[in-house]
Amino acid sequence: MALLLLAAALLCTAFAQFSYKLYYVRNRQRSVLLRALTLFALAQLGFFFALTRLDIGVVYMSTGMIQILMLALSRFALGENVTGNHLVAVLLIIGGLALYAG
Amino acid sequence: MTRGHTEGGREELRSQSEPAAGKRVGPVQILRGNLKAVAVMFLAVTLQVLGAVLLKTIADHRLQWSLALLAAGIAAVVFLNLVRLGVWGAAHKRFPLSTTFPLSSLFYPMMLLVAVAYGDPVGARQLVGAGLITAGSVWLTVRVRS
Repeated sequence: MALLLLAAALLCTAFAQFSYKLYYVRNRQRSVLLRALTLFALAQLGFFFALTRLDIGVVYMSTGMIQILMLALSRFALGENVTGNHLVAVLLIIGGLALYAG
Repeated sequence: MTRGHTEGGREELRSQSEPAAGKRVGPVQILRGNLKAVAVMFLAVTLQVLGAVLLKTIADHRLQWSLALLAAGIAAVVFLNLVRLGVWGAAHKRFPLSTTFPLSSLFYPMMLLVAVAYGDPVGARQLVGAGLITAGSVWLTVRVRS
């Protein structure tokens, strides 16, 4: 359950950052900014519940996944280019997380 | 002065301390030339770590605290993170992205220290793991953006 809440918090943070980016891309619409802030606040709730069960190191090291989620969102939602350098970084982060929490 | 784009899509001015295209500059030279940027990013990362520690404190004391106090604590964490985002955004506007983005990765070594302080099991595996996460984060910001 704690891991699910942590995953939800990571997703909320990634979508909050993505919405924040869209805010600047789409002529600074207030609704997009509000969505970003709401998701960001919800993410803190998710981190709170995850921290009741998991070690602080595991919870916050896993925030490295946000960069990977952002990369996926940028690729599939905005059509941004993903290069070999991106994939090296993704492998390093996933490998690091597996080592840290495994 | 040259122009560049932030992640938010805004056009920002880059300072003249940005290394010229194609010229390789070592990390020590980057840090020496951007001490103010290092200080501001250190502040941003410290605020992020403080938010994490505050949230962990609230989570650990959730059974002793009233609902109102818990809500106030979480609101304080959200506020702290918003201030951090403000500092982070200001740093990205004022200083070269090639300096500020990699410095954001300071968060992971700092969280490792916090984990040790909280008594989390931190051994060689966790050290290497945190190192890889930091390396991946730096790689993403240096190798990809350069």
